Amino acid sequence: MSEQFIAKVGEFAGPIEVLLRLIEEKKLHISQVSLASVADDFISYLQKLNNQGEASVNDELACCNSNKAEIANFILVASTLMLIKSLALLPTLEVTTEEKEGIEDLERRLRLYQRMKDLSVHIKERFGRQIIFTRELSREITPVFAPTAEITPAGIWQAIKNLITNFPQPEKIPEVIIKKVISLEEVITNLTNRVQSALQMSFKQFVGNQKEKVNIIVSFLGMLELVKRGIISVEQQNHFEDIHMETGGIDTPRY
Amino acid sequence: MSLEQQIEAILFWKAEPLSVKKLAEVCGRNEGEIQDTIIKLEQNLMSTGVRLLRKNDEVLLGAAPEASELIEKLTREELSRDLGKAGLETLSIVLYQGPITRAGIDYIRGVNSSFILRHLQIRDLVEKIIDPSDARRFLYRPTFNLLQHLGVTKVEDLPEYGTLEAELQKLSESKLQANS
Repeated sequence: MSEQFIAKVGEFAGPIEVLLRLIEEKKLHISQVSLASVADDFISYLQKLNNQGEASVNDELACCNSNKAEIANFILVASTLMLIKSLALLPTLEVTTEEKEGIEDLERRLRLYQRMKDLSVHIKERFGRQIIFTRELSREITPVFAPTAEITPAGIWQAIKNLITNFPQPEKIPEVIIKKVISLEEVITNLTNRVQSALQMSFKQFVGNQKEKVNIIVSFLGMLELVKRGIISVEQQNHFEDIHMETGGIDTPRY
Repeated sequence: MSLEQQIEAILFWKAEPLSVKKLAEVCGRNEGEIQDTIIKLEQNLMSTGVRLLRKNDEVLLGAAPEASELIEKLTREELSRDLGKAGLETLSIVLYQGPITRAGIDYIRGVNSSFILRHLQIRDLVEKIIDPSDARRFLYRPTFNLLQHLGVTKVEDLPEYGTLEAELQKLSESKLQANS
């Protein structure tokens, strides 16, 4: 998919538009089959979009900040596509009524969007071509000074006093210092490096001085992720004992 | 003076949209008569340089779209004809499916439309009204200014205007069928 697809500043494409473009690029009609076939492309587009969004965190362009919020819209569509693709690969998969409706809804939205795109051509062709002009209002109004009875010096003074008493007070919004928490990525890199240099380590050693439960849990998840990736193997002799981690030859893939 | 001539004269003088209700009041007739006469007036004006515009129970007189080029020579205003992609999408939806809520527009476009809607309101291409069936919601619909820029005297004159409603009916019917 061409890079310029993403890069246009200020003309952010939403998930429905992107999905339709993917389908039309493949010269397909809207159906569950075509949606299943573009699911992977959609996901990789979303990943690129997410990376671009993170990279521009320091960007002053307001549109890029709103893009990050828009990315959330993509996730719902992405999950529906995953479901459609799973169904295509496993036709016997059981789907709930809600999930079925979600799939139909996506199809309907696409059809609707496509139809509106077709109709918008009529609007584009006509806008500003042959304008119907109306008469300009040039009626002059002669101002007349007609004060009401309540406009007296005392009345105005009272009004000013009322206004001042009703001034909005600046709100005191309570502030909390956000504590830095370790991110999962940091933990994984940390653990990988340490285990690579020392061929074996225990989980207790790895957790070290950290007391916060949150950080211990994040470390545990990091360890599980490395096991999943085949980078380390773990062993626990008995329940609640320390967990022993070691690298089993970092370069050999595990299946 | 015929009712038709009366209405024409009033609309010419006002140079602003007038409601059928107001016309009925001023001319001392019932709204049905006014509606019928308006249709006749619209027809009779087709052979002149003036057109009758109609929208949401209001009417307005304007110059024939064919005179657009001529009048542009006289007006000193900068006429902007640019509609970005977002503007075009949103206007199409408001025209063909209006009045419609912001949520309804977002549903079709798949993106948040508040920014573009505000922009279109500033340009007087779209107007916001309170939903008559639910005072908490707003509906967006085209303005007379938008119709004028498109050179149409009423929304119904847009190509394929009637067909979309039938299609939408079919779409929602197919959903009902699938669920039964």
